[in-house]
Amino acid sequence: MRDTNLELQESGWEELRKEARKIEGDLDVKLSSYAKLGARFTQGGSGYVDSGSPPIGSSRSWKSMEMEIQSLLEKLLDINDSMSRCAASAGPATSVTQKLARHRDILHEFTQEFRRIKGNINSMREHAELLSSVRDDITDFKTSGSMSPRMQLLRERASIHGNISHIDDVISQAQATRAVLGSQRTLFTDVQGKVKVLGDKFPMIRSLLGSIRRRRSRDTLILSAVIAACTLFLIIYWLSK
Amino acid sequence: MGDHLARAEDFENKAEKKLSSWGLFGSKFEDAADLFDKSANSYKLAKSWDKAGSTYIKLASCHLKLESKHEAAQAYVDAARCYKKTNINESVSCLDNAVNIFCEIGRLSMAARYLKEIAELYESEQNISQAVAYYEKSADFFENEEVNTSANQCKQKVAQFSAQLEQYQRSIEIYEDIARQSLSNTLLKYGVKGHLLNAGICELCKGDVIAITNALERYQDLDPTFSGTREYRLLADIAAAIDEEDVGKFTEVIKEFDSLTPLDSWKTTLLLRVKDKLKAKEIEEDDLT
Repeated sequence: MRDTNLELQESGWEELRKEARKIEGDLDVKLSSYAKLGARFTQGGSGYVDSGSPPIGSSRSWKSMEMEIQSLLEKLLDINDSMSRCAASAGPATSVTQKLARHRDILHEFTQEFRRIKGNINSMREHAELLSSVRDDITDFKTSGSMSPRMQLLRERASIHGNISHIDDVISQAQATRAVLGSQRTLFTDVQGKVKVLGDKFPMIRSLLGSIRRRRSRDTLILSAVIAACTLFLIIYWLSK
Repeated sequence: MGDHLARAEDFENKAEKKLSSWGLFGSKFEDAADLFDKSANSYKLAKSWDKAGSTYIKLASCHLKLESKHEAAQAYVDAARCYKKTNINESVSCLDNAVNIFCEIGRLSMAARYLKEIAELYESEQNISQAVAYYEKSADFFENEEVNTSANQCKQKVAQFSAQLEQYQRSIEIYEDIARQSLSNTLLKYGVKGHLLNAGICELCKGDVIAITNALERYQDLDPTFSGTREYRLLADIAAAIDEEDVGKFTEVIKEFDSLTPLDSWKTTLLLRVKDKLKAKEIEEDDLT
């Protein structure tokens, strides 16, 4: 009876694992196609010239592919749950646990990848939609206008401003670090010779003091026991004398 | 791998036995804590993240019984790091416990840091409302400890996500406050126009032309150099386009700005909302005529 149950669980486990591996392969292929679709959308969107038909076609195939990947991820999650229940009922086996952890990692990785690509595609689509217009002559005018020296100077200024922003971030972090180091120096000056304050400020020293206190109380207990035993022995000896 | 797992289980069994026994000399919780720590380390080496997390939680319980609050909080942080790989909810609850303990012992800087970590976990899970709540708490704690740089970073995150949740007034207040603080710092004042641009975009999303005009005047009072920047020009031109209800002009203005300074996804999303609202209004006008 038990052997039959074990065999049934074994075959169920193998079937589930085979199906999981098949879905993982499908997901890998579809995620690659999805990423390529996103890249094509980027190239299509940057021109702004033929902004009429490509967004609609790209949007349609992109949405259907997104739903396909979503359903595959949900199916893989269900299969992982089933494998988890099989492993729990089968009993402690190291190889089964490792394989299950591996499958769970793969699912997590695919989910993160899908989420990232979807975010990228959403961002690009919004960008293209924001900048698209029915006036193509404006596009042509701006394209020709971007070669003038004034535009180049403005672009240069924008780049410099971007660099200034990054430098500001680094400088603000450096300022924060300097402030913290200053307060630490003040702290070290204050705690000179004050063990209790030192114990309050630094957890490691406090834990050390705590351990010392516990060991001392234990030593006190041992010493008391020894003294009591000696006293008792003396009393007994004196009475029997 | 299997060897580490067996050793981890052995240590855990010893620790449980130590807890259930009665010791005359020495503390059973201290010895159990040592064994739990070794067990959790072995579980991590075996990549059994769930078991490592649960073992760290037991370690935290031992430290709490020993009245070692800092060690208990550190154990909760380690448990959260393990659960981060498998179970986000458990990770958040462990960090919450660590934050509570750090608050009890008065270490607000570390509490603020772990609140920020909770917010980042929710952000990665795309739970924006919870991320906003925890970023706000974290900013409060950083401000209490006078760490203004980290507080401002958390506040900017709050403003960014509040705008995504369509709470524009809150975003506007935060960006304007950060701009005011940056103005008083000679090193940070060159970034003020970025903050004012973000605040202005949030004003545009509210769709009130008079409020936009008042805001632009207020920004000129705040920073006299702002009126000469391209950010101011963008906001003023968009306000004019909204006033005239001209979608073509709106698109033209944004395209010109984007050709020099590409807009990030947050600005793109918000400006797209403005454009959709403007389109709806224009269509309504056409239907009426």
